[in-house]
Amino acid sequence: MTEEQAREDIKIIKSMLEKTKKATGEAVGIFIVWGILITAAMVVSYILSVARLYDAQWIIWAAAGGVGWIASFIFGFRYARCAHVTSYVQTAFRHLSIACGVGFALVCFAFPMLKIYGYENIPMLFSVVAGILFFTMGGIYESPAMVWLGLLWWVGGTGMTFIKGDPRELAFAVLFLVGYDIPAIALWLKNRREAAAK
Amino acid sequence: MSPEKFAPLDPVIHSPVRLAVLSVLASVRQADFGYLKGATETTDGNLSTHLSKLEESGYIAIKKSFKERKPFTTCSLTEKGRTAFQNYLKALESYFPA
Repeated sequence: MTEEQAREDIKIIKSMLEKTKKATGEAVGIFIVWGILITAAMVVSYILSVARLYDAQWIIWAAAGGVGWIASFIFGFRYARCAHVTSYVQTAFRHLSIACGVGFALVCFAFPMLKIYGYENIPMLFSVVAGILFFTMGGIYESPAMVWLGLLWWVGGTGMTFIKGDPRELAFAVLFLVGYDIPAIALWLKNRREAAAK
Repeated sequence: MSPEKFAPLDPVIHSPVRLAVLSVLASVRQADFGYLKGATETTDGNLSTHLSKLEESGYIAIKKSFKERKPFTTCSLTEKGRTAFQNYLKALESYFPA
């Protein structure tokens, strides 16, 4: 074997790694679904609070959570069935999503229902879990933007402790829009562009 | 550099298709036959021959099943294969001056 042939081997290895990297992009559709559900639930919840129908609010969140979990299950199942390659990154991402999904269900629904703390604490606790989700995703996908989003959620969560009452809900809605909805749509558009380029 | 300073290369891996297959499998948990065929740009028969050789050497594990009533083959790297691939990379390094 000559140095030239060794270079050919290196070229093969690099080319295969590059192809595999492109093939293991995660489906981000489910992120959009959760974003729409939570945004819609926030709007309906706000309307109900204006109408002083406070008792009906939990139904909205339970419905949004239920639909989200069913959609996540269907997306996960469909993606696993169609995938030609299963990467370690995907496995890590799946476990992180499930862990944070359970985290959101506990801090936003189960614990307040059990009266461990009041509903006014949900935005801060949601922010903690969202921060973990984005910060870790940033590490997995080597995306500094996601790492910054994780930090934004933690800073936002801390900031909301200084805001009381309805303005806190408004601040949470703005944080959700900036820290979740917009990045999810941007990620989805980027994936679509990449898929079209292929 | 004199030839005696070059580390010997594993003959099982030292083939473009087999090297390509191991390069893909080294970075993923598993890949199916269709994906490997597309990535290596080879024919069904040729790929099968190379996969069999890698399996015989204990470098990869092949799992055959059915998906929507069609045969479905997935391949993954074994620990022996991972070690052999890493050794191959180290051997390749010896071909380049530091």
